[in-house]
Amino acid sequence: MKRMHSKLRIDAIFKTVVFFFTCISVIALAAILIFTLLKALPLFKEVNIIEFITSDVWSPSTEQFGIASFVVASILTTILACLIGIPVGLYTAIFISEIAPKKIASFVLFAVEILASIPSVIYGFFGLTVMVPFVQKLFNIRSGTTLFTASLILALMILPTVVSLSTSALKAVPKTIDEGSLALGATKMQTIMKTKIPYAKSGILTSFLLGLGRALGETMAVMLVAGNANMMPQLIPISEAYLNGGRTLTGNIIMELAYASGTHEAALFATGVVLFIFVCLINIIILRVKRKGVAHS
Amino acid sequence: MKKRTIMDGIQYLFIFLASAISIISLVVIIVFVLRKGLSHVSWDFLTNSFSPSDPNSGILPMLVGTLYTVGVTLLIATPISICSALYLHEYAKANKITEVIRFAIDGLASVPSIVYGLFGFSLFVTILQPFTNGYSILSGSLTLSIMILPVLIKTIEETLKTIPNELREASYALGASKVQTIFKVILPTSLNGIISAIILAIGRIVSESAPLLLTAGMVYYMPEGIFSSSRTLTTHLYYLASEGVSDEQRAQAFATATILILVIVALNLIVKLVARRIQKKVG
Amino acid sequence: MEDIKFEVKHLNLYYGDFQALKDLNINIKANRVTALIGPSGCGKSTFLRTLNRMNDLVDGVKITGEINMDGKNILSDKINTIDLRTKVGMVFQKPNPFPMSIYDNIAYGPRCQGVKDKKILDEIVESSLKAAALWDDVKDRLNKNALGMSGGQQQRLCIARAIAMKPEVILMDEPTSALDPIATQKIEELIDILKKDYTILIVTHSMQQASRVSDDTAFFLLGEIVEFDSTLNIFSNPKNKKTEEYITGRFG
Repeated sequence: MKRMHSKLRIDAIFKTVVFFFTCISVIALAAILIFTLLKALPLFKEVNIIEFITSDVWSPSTEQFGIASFVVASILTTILACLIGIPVGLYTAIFISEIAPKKIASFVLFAVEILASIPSVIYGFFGLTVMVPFVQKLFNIRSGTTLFTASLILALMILPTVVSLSTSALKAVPKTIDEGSLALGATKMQTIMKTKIPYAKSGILTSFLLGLGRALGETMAVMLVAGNANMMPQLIPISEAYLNGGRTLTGNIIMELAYASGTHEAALFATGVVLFIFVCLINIIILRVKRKGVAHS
Repeated sequence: MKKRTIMDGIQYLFIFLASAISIISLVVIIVFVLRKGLSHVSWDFLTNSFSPSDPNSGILPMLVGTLYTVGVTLLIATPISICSALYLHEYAKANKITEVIRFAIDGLASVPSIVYGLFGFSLFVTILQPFTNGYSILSGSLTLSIMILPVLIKTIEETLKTIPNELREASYALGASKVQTIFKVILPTSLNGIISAIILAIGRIVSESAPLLLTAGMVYYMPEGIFSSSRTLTTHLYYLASEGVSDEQRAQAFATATILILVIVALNLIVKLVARRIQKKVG
Repeated sequence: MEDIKFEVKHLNLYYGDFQALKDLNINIKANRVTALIGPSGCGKSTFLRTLNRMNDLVDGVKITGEINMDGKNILSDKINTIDLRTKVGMVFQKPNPFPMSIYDNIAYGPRCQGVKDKKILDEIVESSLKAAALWDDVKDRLNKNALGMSGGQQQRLCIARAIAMKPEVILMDEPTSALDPIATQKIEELIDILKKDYTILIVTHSMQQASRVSDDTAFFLLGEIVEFDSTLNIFSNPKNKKTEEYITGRFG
């Protein structure tokens, strides 16, 4: 009887220990939010928040901190990366889940997994040694380190996210859906495009948004190929913006944090907060999309 | 009917084109790096120390730094992740607390790596400096271990999900306690899954660079322990790529990238093999 | 002979809002085989699992009433479920050996109770396997993985594993539903031998099986016990019309 009681006590103790370890995730997330915000706060004693976001003058030596040009550069690269990466990714997913024979499909999927796990520094290095000279020659410009180059590399980097998540979304579509469409005389391609993709909509959309988040948060690769010039991209004509260098939010942080202090350091943390807010927005949309998807099925 | 086939044909064309782009870009990256890097990889390169001015520099300190970082990060993150997965799958009831925990884990997964860098810099490098010695392998590993928690927890939980409930019931029906069931049935049965989760995590740690740049620093000497600042292979490659100007350093950059790619591909293959072994065992 | 093992009084069980068992009252006799029959979802398996408190593992289950085992209410909070389950063993629908050796499967329960002595364990393994009529089949490969056995052998292993705990009661939840006829026959023969030493409750879908192996039979319908009597009476002279309809195969 005594032994039994000690067993139950061990059970209870173990549960407590396990729960404690589980709480570390919660504490960590809270700590990340708190420390980043706290470190950013001193900035707003010097600079008001509107000016911080809308001014395109970033000059630590004169204590002027505006990140508008970095926001624009981040948005520009992210949009173009998605415009290239998403269609390629989705079509590759269709190839894997619908068309390729099993062996080939699993090979392509494996290739995509490797693409996903290649370090971003290598993407950046590859971009620097291959894409930058290529872009320079292609457009006959002074330097190949441009937002366009950064977008190309980012497109490549979000590809695996889009492919693997879209593939699982498409694979999760029940067989009866296909059969229903095929039985009505639709071709295989029509079935895929008009029946399966709408059915898997929420999963596919989620993959797009996660790709978007990855492009926005990527640091090292972008920094190596984007040129990091501290200036506002010229938006008209748009080619002018893409064929010049620029500095993204992430690039700004990593370039300057090592030697920053005081208000300057706070401004860099505030840059991180802005980036994080963008990512949160994307995540809120993802939650919405998922909830809708659940409601549908 | 004709129009239908043309439309289908165009779609097929796009699909093959897109898949070709995906595959070819992978092949191009790997082949390009290996072709330029393999010739520079030698025993000397792997075992020499590094100095910016020495053309015969090697990467031994970075290899050691990477191993240290992987080791310390796993030492911290693995127990936390196994416990979290056990709690979420074996204990947690569907209530508010569980919801909060799951939300936090998803939240951690979506924090950009540069923000982890900022966080690690402010907490581990600055505030906890007396304990971590500022820029150090320990600071870097602490930061990375939080970063890889979501991946580890999720993959281990997936493994736990594949264990049939009948096994748990069989164990309870024999009068085993929950702890006995966990240690004698659940963990041994999911061992292969846990191993592949850890290998996946190693891949993440080896690949990561931005947070390490802000927390582990860029010292290129041989690390003396976890309190030393150190470069990993990735941060070293970043240094060589962004600041290396001589042909020699270019060659070193390609060789370092080659080592990284070989490690990553090897890790992926191991995960595949372990997965196949799991399938054989279950099926 | 007429010892009562379980005295069930006003037993109700709810899954959330759904009432799965309704005011059950039944006395299960010791050293007999009691069959629980009835259509799917009638509550027979749920009832079986209250006898070793396996329902505790399901979220949102609420139980009222009493089950007295040898005079002690096993539904009480004071009862140690781990202790209870060592006395009330269970065999499941699908054979569920652990992915370890045959020996380790049998030794699992005793080891959980802290038995470490190799000699004692060896004895338990041998006697349990003999009792489950499996010893001759496997004595040369005790260290082989149990998953390599046939389905019928696996199920007998699971019975041996339950016997190794020296329980007083063995609960069997459709133990032959995943087995072929020959393996089923072997299990039924085994049940016949085991009832000398154990009280056995068996949930079954097969009317023939119930009539072949059991001494008493309870007929469940929609969470209630419609009729409980000796198997002979139930099958030859059912008092309730529903029972008659069920055993003659008019519904199920």
